[in-house]
Amino acid sequence: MSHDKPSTVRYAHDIAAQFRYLPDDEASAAVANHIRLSWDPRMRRQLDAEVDAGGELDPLVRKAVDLLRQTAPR
Amino acid sequence: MSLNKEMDFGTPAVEGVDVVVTVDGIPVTVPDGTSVMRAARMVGIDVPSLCATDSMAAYGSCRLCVVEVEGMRGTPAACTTPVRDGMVVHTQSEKVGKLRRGVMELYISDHPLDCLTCSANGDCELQDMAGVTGLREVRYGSGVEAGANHMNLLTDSSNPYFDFEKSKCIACSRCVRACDEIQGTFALTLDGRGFGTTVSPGGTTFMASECVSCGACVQACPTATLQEKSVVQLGTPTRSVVTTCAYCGVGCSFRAELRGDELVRMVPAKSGGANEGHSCVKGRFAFGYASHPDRVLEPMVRESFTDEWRTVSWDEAIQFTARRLLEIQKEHGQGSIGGITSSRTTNEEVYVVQKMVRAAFGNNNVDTCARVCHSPTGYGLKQTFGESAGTQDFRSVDKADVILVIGANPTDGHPVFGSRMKQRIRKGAQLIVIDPRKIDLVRTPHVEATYHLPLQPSTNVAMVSALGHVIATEGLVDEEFVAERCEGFDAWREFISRPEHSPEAVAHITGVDPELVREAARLFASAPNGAIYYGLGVTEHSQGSTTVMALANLAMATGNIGRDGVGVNPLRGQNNVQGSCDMGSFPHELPGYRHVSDDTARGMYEALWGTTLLDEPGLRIPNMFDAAIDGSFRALFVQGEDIAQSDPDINHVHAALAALDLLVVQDLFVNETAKFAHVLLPGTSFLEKDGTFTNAERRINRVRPVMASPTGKQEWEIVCEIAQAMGYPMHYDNASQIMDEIAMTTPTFTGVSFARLDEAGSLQWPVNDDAPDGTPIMHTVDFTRGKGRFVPTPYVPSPERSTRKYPLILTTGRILAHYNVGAQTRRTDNVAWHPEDILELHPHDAEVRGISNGDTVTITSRAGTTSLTAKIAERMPVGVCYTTFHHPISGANIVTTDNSDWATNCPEYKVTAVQVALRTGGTPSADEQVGVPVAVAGH
Repeated sequence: MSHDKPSTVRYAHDIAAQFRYLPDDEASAAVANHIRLSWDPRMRRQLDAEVDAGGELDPLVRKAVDLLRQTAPR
Repeated sequence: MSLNKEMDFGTPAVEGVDVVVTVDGIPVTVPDGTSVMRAARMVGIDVPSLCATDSMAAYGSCRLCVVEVEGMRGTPAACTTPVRDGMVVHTQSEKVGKLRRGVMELYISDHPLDCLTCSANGDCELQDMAGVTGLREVRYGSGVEAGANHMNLLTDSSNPYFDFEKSKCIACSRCVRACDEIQGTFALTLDGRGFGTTVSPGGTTFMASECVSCGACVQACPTATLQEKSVVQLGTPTRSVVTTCAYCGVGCSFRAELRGDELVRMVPAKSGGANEGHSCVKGRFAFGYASHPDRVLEPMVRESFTDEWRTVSWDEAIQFTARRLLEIQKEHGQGSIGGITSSRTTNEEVYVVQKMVRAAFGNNNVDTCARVCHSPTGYGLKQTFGESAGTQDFRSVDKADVILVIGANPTDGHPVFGSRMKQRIRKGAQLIVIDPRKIDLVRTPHVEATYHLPLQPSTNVAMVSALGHVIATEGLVDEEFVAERCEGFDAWREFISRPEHSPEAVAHITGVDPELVREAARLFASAPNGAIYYGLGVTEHSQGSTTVMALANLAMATGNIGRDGVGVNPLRGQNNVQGSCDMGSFPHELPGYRHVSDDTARGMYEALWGTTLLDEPGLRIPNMFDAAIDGSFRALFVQGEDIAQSDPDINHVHAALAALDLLVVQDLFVNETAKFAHVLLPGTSFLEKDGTFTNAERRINRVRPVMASPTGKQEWEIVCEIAQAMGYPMHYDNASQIMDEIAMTTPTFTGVSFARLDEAGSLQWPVNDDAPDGTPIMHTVDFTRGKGRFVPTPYVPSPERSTRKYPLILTTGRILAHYNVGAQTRRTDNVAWHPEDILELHPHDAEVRGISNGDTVTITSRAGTTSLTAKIAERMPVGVCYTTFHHPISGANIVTTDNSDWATNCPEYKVTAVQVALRTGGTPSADEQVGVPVAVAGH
């Protein structure tokens, strides 16, 4: 199947959708934590690159990426 | 019948107050209500019998077990007479001896006395009883000379695995009762009356009947009437080895019975903790694939997957593999290679693969086929209970009062447990089925669900939350349990009580009558013991993990955790799904589900393995595919999994495999994945393995080598040799040493060893100082994480929705006779029951498309197109169609999408929007048949 978004972005959006019921700060922390605990560092770098490239991203994912950058992968 | 018979006490054990009886002068203490026969046999006094066996209720028909009881008149049957305190029994006397011989004379007078050429010679209870009773003459003659007889009845050989030689039947009804009481299919009956009575599979042949070929009748038959064809052909076995089935997650124990090195038959072991003497058509009979000519027995290598295979020595194959792995890593980086473990291999084999990846490859790029089946179970139960495993043993269902089955079809997928569940329902437990289809459990002989909630595919979270809403808002919460043992409840109650979660509010999503939902919730919550069982119909969704957590919430809210008869029970697909996950197969977890960032756990392995380990997760299987296509992942070791068949959106998978510089496949056959491989390392079948499997109830069972590996190596040896050739020292003398290392490093396995397993039969983890004999039921006092954690479960619709272009939802599952992609069962006579996959659809959906039974139809999704034969089925709801995935030609994974569970990336196999159309002839066009036609997955 072809998609208009990279898989990392789709995955991140799927995660964000599950935590959206929480207050924003808690939700972004939960998304960041889930990604930190379960993603290979290269996937985090791909998501970073999407943010840097100004890709269309869920605001919750953007906030999560900001939090993840505080613990950047190798 | 079976060789090396396990002790048979004649009637089942009962519970009761102890009483003391005297049998032939020997005092015996037994529970009140025990039969005289059982009491006698408990002290080694073998009362003769033919119709009695301890797996079924006493029947009292053969009259061989007559005894004398002081103070009682006549000669009661020992099997149907319960003991009472102080009873004095005499099993031998002139009177009962004469009676028994009289009975035997009648049996023998209507029996072909061809003992010397009979397939059951030496393994026949009728023959045994003739000896035990001292039968020396038959006054009526025997066979045709005795007058009326059954000698001319023809043998029914229609079943591919066993014969029904009617002339040898003694009408003891053991087969009929086994089918009724144990299997629960009710396919057999006693036809006729008096002397004309015969056993009949419903007035037709076995193959044309309702028989599911579980083998219970063959096991129960005391003569050669129901006999395995393999015994007829090969002769009576001479030795046996107890081992564990290689099919589903029930993990049945069997005695493999052999003549020399030739396997004659598999007989379910009564001592097996998971199956207690029962079996299904796969485990009992479908073992022929292990000796199938398609098996690869020598290593093969090629430079490119378009080249021809070259057979090489083990040494060359291992050196080639190691050299290429190192070269690729040197060129593309440490993270450019990885491995996948299999749920069809032993714990020990899985452990060494993940060790090779972490220690020799130096990364965490290890994943397992549980990714595509029960990874959401691991996530969901760890989040809520603190342990990635089911809470109960199978036996627990015997104490359940209300059973909730969601997204599982146990009578097909987990048939031995399905039979056990049906036994409990026939004894009065009530059943709630949540499934789009009318699965067999909804209504089958003597079993009927109290509620069937036929929800739309992909709406599990909305449905389970609605059940939670009713419990939370109608005062049905077990407040004491929640207050004492859980956390997060207030937030959950506030969340779940919102109007949007009510059955009425979600009815437009689930499609289920809200009043039915309310009644089902009340029934479950009010049960003394409510038990939840679920399968891939829960996990293989975009919200698989959320549904698992919603079910855990339901169990905690109603206090249904921590004792017999309750719990949250995942029905695992493959025999070692639980074990492969336990052994550290996930890229983020070390053995025992400890995160790779856990410094203590990681530090322990670093010290033991003598190398530094990475503290960040590696790639999951779908991530490996993406990384292969983008070029950062270049080499993959695949242990016993056929990802080119089993994973979704197969065109994407094939593109990824084709992009690899090195693909190493360890398997029994040249499977679909091997078509892209550079190295093929022949594997071992379960009959050759030495190790352990862990089933769905956390039961660790021994897998013992029944015969020598025809490849000359165990799979773990090959993995160790690759690691060593890469420069990492990794050596074990035997599989037992691997388990010792697992036990030394994994807190839940501390007390496990091969010796301990041999002694105990099996052990359910955790096995440690706190639970030296294992843990059949978890979370009895505290949850593993301390307090059980309620997690709010918002419903997020699947991205896959039906549209005008793709108006139907395709869902997939498996059928009794086959196992997953069919690599094993298609190489057995099980194809007699299911020669091809078919598409089931509702009569309305068929009619509007002009489709009739047997038509060939095309199934098209956003991902691709394939073709199947149509079957019109009332059990399907309107708008939903269904297929199995056992035959490569079916190609269902061409149409499945790459949507996946948000938490684990478990594929959403259960929801694919499709259009179905009548195919009007000709072969599929290139546009129609997108991709190579291969079978769909699901484990």
